[in-house]
Amino acid sequence: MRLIVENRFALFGLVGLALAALFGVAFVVRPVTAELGVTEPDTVRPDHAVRVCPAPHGPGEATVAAFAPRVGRDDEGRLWAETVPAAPEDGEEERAEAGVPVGEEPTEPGRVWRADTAEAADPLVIRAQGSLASGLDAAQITLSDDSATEVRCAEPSIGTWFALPGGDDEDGGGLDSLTVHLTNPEESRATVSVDVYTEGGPSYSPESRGISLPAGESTVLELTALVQSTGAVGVHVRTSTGRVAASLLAEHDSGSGDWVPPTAAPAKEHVIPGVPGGDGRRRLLVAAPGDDPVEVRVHTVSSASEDGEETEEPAQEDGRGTGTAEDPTVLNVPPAASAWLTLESVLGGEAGTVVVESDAPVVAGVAVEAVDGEGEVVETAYTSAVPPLRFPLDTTAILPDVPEGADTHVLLGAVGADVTLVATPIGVDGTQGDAVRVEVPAGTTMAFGAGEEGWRAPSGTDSQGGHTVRLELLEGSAPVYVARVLRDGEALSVLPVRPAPVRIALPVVRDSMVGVVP
Amino acid sequence: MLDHDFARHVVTAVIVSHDGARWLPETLEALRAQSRPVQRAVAADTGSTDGSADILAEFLPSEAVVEMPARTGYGDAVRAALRLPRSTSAVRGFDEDATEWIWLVHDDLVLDADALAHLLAAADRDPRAAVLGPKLRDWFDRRLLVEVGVTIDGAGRRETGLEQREFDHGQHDGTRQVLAVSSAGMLVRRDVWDRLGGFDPALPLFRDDIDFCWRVGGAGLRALLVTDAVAYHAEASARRRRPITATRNHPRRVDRHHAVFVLLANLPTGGMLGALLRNSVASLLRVLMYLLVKQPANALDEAAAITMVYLRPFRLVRARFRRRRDRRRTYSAIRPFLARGVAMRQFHDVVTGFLSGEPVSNTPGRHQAVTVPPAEDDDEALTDDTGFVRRVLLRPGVLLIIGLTLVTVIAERSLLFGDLLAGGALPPVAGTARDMWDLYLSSSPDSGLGSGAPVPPYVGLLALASTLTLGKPWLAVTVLLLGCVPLAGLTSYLLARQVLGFRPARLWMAAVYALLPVATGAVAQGRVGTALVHALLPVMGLLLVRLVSMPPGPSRRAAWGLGLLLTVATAFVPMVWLLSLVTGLLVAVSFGHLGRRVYVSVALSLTVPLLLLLPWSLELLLRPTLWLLEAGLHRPESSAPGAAPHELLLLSPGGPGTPPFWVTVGFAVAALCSLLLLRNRMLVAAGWSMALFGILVAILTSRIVVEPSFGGPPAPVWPGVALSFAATAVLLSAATAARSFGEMFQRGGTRRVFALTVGALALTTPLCAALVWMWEGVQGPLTGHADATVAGALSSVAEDGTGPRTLILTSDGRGAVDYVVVRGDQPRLGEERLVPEPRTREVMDRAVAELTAGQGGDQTHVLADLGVMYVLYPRPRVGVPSDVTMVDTLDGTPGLERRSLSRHYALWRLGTPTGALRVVSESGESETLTVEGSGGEMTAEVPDGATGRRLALAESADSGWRATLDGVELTPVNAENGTQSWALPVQGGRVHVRHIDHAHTAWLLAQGVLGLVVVVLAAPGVRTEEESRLIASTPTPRPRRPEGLRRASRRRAPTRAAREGDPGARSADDESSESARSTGSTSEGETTGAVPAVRGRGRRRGTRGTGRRRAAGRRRAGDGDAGASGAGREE
Repeated sequence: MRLIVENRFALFGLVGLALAALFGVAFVVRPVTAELGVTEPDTVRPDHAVRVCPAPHGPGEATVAAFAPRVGRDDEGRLWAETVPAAPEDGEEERAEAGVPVGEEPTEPGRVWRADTAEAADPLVIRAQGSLASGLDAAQITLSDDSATEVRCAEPSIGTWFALPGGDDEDGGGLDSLTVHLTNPEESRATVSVDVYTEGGPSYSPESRGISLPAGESTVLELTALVQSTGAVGVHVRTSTGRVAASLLAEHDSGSGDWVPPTAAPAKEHVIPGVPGGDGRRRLLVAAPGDDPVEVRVHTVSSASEDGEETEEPAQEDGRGTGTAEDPTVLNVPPAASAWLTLESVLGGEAGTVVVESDAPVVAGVAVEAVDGEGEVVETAYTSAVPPLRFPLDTTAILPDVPEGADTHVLLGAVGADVTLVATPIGVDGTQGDAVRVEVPAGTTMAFGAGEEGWRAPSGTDSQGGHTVRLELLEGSAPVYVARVLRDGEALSVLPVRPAPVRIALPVVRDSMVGVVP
Repeated sequence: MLDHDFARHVVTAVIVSHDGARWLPETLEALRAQSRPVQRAVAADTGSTDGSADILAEFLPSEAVVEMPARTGYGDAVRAALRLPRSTSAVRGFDEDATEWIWLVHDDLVLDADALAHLLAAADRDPRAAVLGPKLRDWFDRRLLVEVGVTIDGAGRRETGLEQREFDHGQHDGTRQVLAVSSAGMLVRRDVWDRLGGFDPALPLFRDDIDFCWRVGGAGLRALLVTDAVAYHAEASARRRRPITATRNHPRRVDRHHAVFVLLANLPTGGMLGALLRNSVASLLRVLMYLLVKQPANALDEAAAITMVYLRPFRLVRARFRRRRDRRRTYSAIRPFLARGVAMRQFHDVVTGFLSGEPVSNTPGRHQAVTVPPAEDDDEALTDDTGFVRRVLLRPGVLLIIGLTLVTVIAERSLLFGDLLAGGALPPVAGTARDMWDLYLSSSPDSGLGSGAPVPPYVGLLALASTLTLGKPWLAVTVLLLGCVPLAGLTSYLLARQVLGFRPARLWMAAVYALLPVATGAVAQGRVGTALVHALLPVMGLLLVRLVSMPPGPSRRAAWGLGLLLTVATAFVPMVWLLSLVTGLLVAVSFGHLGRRVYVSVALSLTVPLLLLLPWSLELLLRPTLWLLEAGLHRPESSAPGAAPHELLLLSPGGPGTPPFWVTVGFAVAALCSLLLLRNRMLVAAGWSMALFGILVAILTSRIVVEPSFGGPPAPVWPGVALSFAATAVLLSAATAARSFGEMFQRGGTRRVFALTVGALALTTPLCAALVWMWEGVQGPLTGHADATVAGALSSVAEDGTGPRTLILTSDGRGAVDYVVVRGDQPRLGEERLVPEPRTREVMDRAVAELTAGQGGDQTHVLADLGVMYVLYPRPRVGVPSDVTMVDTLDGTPGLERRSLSRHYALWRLGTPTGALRVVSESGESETLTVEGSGGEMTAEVPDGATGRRLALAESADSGWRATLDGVELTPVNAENGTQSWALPVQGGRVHVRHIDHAHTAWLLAQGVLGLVVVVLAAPGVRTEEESRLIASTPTPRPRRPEGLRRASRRRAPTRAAREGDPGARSADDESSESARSTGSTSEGETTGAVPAVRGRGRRRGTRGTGRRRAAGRRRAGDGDAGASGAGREE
């Protein structure tokens, strides 16, 4: 006290020190942000789900299988399916009967729901409520003697993208016909437009714009005329009102028809899993909806061993690069148009995963042709960009139906880091088989299938019925891109596998005026 | 000539005495010494107990004195004296037809020697003069004018036409006709007196003179004021210098009653009715005012006076009848002499007095005599500052405020004259005061999703403020928020005037405080809470000073006032209460030795806010994050990222609108330099401790990110109020040191250089702040031209009677979605903190999340249940085909139809109609009803329908909702989404839905009553003379300085200093609080730091002469022990 009182500089010094200390405190705690009451984004188990399976194409056995995993002991819900009639043509008075129920109506998850749709002429809508709605996945497989095609039953949405080859192919052989199957399973009207991006730019006809689709009706739209003189096509099915489920059927002039899986919405990075090995062309198709030319860099993650890559010929004649991560192949896409690129030389007949990076949002897909001994195209298949299985929410995926008698395997593309997952076969009656653990080293694509080295159908089940496989990412694993490949003799089908999460993320929502006050 | 004339007048002096021994001898001497002697003198003594009768007996023969009982009125006493034979005895040497006069002499009246001579001379000049009166001056201060004729105005006010304490320079001279002259020294023609019956016996005291003179005037004669005649009057009765026994009642009551009586008895019928009405209303207002200023006795008097008039109608009728009999002239002869505009002039006086800082003494009825001998320093009164401009406008404080207002207007040019004020923390200021009251008072506010928690009380306070500004919230907000700088300047100047003696330091302190970065930042960010608290803090400091330094009565009053202000401040910014708690503890510790009353007062001030803000203050305890937030919205745009460390140390809270950090550097350096002075070290140290504490609080809180519990994005806390607090402390300690400025300047040499440098540095801050602010204008989110959020088309469809609501969705750009539900009008101030019932909120949150995530589902049913018919997305970004925007997502939502899409907004309509009240059939079909009324009271016609239907109300279910169908109560049933619904019978009819919440009403009533009580207790009240003297004699308190502690602190001092010298060893927190505590033990806190100097202001005007006492304080200031006390008296 006395010091403070008597010494002129004591107080000054003390306050100075205190201020310096405060500055220190302020400096030290600056990066600290203690958060109080901050809401985390919520997740929700959806309790409504709608899936639309298009009417099967061509002859053969068509089966729809749906599966929703059991999460809790008390899970229950309802699942039912019905047909969606086609919208009446102009002048046509009578309408097909609406809502014919199909199949059983399970009330518990964890079992495979199947329905035979071989005879169906209308799309099938699967509706689920309660626990049966979360983690639901459904697919339709059509198997005939020489072809196989598989289509994932689509969720109604406001926009669906596809990337596929066009009708004009320089090597001969393109699409014979292209049809988009639209279904509006909701209770309100939808207005649909289809935009087509050809190599030459956008292409549309009056018929492809402003299609009105009343609630609970379906329609089929022919796009062949729009894609005839192009080698690659990007298709965007979008609604300006309501939602529709869109499926795209491409018939190759070799006679094989396949459902083209929808690809991920435009983004700067895509990963396309499930390019099967073997002979025949593998074409990457890219469409850029933006108004600027886009440079797309492509490389593959193949199943070939590391030393195998050294056998690759370096640098193609046009200087497009070798297709490795260090030296990607470059593809230039004109604005609002599409382009394509062959991948055979890069893949060298190996199964692989294609990684696409671009400087503007694009959509991408891969077309696969299987050839016989003479090089004739005998079967086609399509794969597309899908989101990976990854933490925290998208950790599971379903292969709804693994038919007996056909060769089924999944192609697991580990793009970044090592991946560990577990495959669990589940019988039709819900019995679980032995879970099999798979490890995929970083930077490779691994084929993994039913049989000796893969999973086995659960014992004691009806061998005719096939089974379901559930894929689960293990804790600590990196994202993995998955596609399943189905082979039956010459028949080939590829279906990229999307995650079927049990819980989905919701945005943070706040009851606050902040947004409307400048 | 004169002699001859004198012979024509016979004058009988009538002396009435009552306990007037103090004045009577002088009175009688003066009467005897008249240059024109009276012919007869008679006297009446009305039961004096102080020996007045004996004094009379010394001067007058016994047969000239009559003893009367104590309760005799003045008029009666005069009549009794005139009945004495002595009063009519013949006088030799006078004409037979000499005019007989009665001269009424009060026992407290000293007559000038020539008074009678002048009166009679005037009577000679005007034959119609029946009543003559002298000019009255004050008994004690014989220069002061007391009366030059009196009159009365329509409200019964006694009016002399004189200014306060007006000195007689002959300015009112000139013999003239007036309405009335005072009975003191009144010379009356005896025949007139007899004819009119003298003073009315109904008026035993007061106003009898006016009444008599009015009657004289009515009789066609004149009342003359003769200014050559002078008398000195003590006005002993009116000033309550002696007990009055002529009436049982209190003089004020009697005076007021008589005033009304005189008016009613003498005015013509129409005027009488008008006067009755006017006086009744005026009395009511006065009663309220007296209650407010805590003078219940006066209020009672006032009420009793007017009641007495009503209770005795016959007396009035009789009086009117008698007056009509005597009347010879119409009212037009009297009218010119009645006073007008008295109220306006008094109001003007009060305003002028308040603005110029001169106390206006309450002189009821304007009896203006001084009652104690004048103080010797009254020379001051002879100043020439008379004009309004000179007295008010040219005072430095007023000039400062005017300057600040100009600066503010220039800087806020972009905000003024806009049509909608909004932005930052401030929601759009739309609607009326009534809307705000509805919001606060209704148990189910007609807004948003309804309310399930107490509405924050600041909404009520804003409603109150809006009511005061003629029902316009924008005006209230403009004054509080945009006027924050001049307001803060005003309040800090008031504080400075109380605690600082050095006038430039006062101005400097007020200017710096007003222009602090906190103030400009609060304006730019629309923080009405911080703005208000910034302006209130100095007043709270002022009241704290009073609490400590005043005698018990005023001190307690200050405590109530402090509690009230703290309530207001806490309602807007709860953090203030926490800071006050710390301050209060320090004050209690250091001034506890003054007695228990300090503890009680401090506890009172701190408890009042918590009680008054119930039930909201419970929310504060339940949700502690509310302590860190303030009124309005909480958002990251205005507070993230937080201020840099150096900005916080320079008292800048960061965010939009704060000036560059160097603006406050000059002030900070100057404040640091003040630490080098050896004077008042304890004060300065204490001030700095509080400042450091405030800065520490600011640093720590500004690093906390809070997501408000009432909804809103997470954002860092804005440390504005803590910095205001710190700034007050720094400014007070720095300004205290500024006193030495002049002295150092005079000493010359290095001292002069130092003083000049520091002074220049200190001046840079207010100048730079003002210039920068004016140059840049207000650049913040706050705008005066905000866009209306809700489209006009939408608000018109909302008026179709079904009460559809609109969900407004906005995306914050970081993946989160904010939503607000509005009811046909745009979201506005007060609604931002309504928290719906938890269940409703949860349901709505979920629905909105799924809606914006594009999840198909039954969200539209939820929306319909909550009455939401439209979804609005303002300022949509219509994207390229490649990305999915909110517009696309909502377009795709089943059940939503897009109605319009433009640059301004996108609007969707629900497929199913909905509204406030619906009839829902068993199958889920719903039919919307057209309702009358809104909010908590609705009626609608319901058609007949099928069984199993229900009546669905789009409000959260709670037990307060009641519905009746044609008077029959309906049974509530459970609805899916937590909304209220009732089972509805098959027959239709008229449904009536209302919300009743008795608990809510009880809370509000209790709050209102409690608030009123506190306001009354806190109201300043009129300071009586006794109180002023008490205040003047109360010594300035010194903080506690126990002997033991003093020794201990002396012993410990070096070690502490050493320890504090090592900042690494101790956290800053410890250090600042420790130093606060240690200094607190000796000189104590910021408060005392600045405290003192209240006493003596009661009588002294302005601030003159304060310099005289400086020397004494200064001498003591050398030794530290006396530091505090020295500063204490230095004023």
